[in-house]
Amino acid sequence: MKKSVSQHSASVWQADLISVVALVLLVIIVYVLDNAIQPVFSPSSLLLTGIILALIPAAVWIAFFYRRDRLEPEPKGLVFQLFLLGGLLAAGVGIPLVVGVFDVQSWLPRSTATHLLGAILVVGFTQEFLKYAAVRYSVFGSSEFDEPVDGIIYATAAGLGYATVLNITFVLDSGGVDLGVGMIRMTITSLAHASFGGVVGYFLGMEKFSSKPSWWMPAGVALAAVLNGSFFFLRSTITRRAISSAGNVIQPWLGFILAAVLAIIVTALLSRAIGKHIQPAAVEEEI
Amino acid sequence: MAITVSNENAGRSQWLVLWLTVIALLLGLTLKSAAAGQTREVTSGGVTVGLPTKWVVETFGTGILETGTTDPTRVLASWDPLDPGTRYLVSLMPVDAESSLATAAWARNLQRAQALSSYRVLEQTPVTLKGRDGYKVAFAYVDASALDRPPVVYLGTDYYFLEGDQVLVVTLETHHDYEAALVKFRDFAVAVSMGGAR
Repeated sequence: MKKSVSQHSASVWQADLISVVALVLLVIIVYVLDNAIQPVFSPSSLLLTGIILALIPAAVWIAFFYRRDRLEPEPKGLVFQLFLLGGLLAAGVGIPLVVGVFDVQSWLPRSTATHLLGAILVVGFTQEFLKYAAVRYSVFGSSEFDEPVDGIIYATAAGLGYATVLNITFVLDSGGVDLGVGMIRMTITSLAHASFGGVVGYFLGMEKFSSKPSWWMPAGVALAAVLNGSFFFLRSTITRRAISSAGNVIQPWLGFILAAVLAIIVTALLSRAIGKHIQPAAVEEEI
Repeated sequence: MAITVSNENAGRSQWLVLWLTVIALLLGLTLKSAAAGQTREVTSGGVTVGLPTKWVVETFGTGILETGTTDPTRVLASWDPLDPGTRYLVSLMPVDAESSLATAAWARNLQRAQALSSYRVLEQTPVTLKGRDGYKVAFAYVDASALDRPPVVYLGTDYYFLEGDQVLVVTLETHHDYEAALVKFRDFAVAVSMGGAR
């Protein structure tokens, strides 16, 4: 059993690293190809290409998180259902609330403090609560949710569904995307939402399998919301600085690097935290 | 892994998460109201606009046009002193009864093109801005007038709205972060109203 736990922890970290590298390579390849070939699209093919690109990061990450749980794999259908549920909640509740009711674009950028606070309170809390709700009110009570790491897998799938709908909305609103810059932007969104979903999922997993106080889960959602709001505020700020200092040249790579670093740090921390939790349990079972 | 620990606080935890989210959203709503309240109304030439409190305002014909000349149709110019590269301009153009917004836009574009050799119209189209019918012109020009810095490319948007026998022209000009500026500008433009003291 001890060996299994050790293998599990190692496979988690390896799968994480491989997937992040794969995603980075994919973005670089698309960016280079776009600049080299400079393809010309019709409006409809541009839209279609954009939608396909919006799905790619999610597909890579779903595979990556599925690998995490390979010792006791979750049903693929269930993971996909959580992905769909996350997307539906984004389309049906999250986007209408943030964009329609709160109309954040009209007032968020008015000052630095407003931007940061608004991003956390409105965008962060809405998005992270919906990821939490997607897992908590569906798979949480099921027998398939049978180890702490499952919380990460299911919440990440919900986060990716959320990110995919955001990306598709972005493509539709823009009437298509520039392949290179669009791919970077959509990968940033997916990496970030996967990471924040992972945080919510970790707290869900620990809540189910450990004796945690009642403030544990609210703290988890709050932490994910703060990370969410701070990340998108920071990305917006550094991208804008890049634009200001270099005329009207957009430098989305800074945001991409930020997202990749965030994903690696969050993954490492979650892997370590989950590993710490599993080890004593495994020893107990062995005795 | 077997479920070894049952969480007695699970029910309470769900409610706490829900309440925390509701409180966060209520605080967000308060923040939104506070941000919206950080504006002041300015009236000039019969036009009333809502501007951020810290913005500098020049009213009624004192605004210096990008060409370095005074625009006789200009009623107001405003900009953030911390970001003078972005400015809002409001003008009123008299028009004939038969004239359309497109005609007014054509006349203004011609005037600009004569004053600025680099002036280019990027797009012009009828628009409905949050329920208000108008005409939009997106443009660009190079400002090489400053001696203390290299020439910069200004991107801008005019919104034309018919107001009786006049055309109200609300303009954004910026030399950086055009997309973000445009998002804020649209709310400003749609809120510009006629009927203030002249």
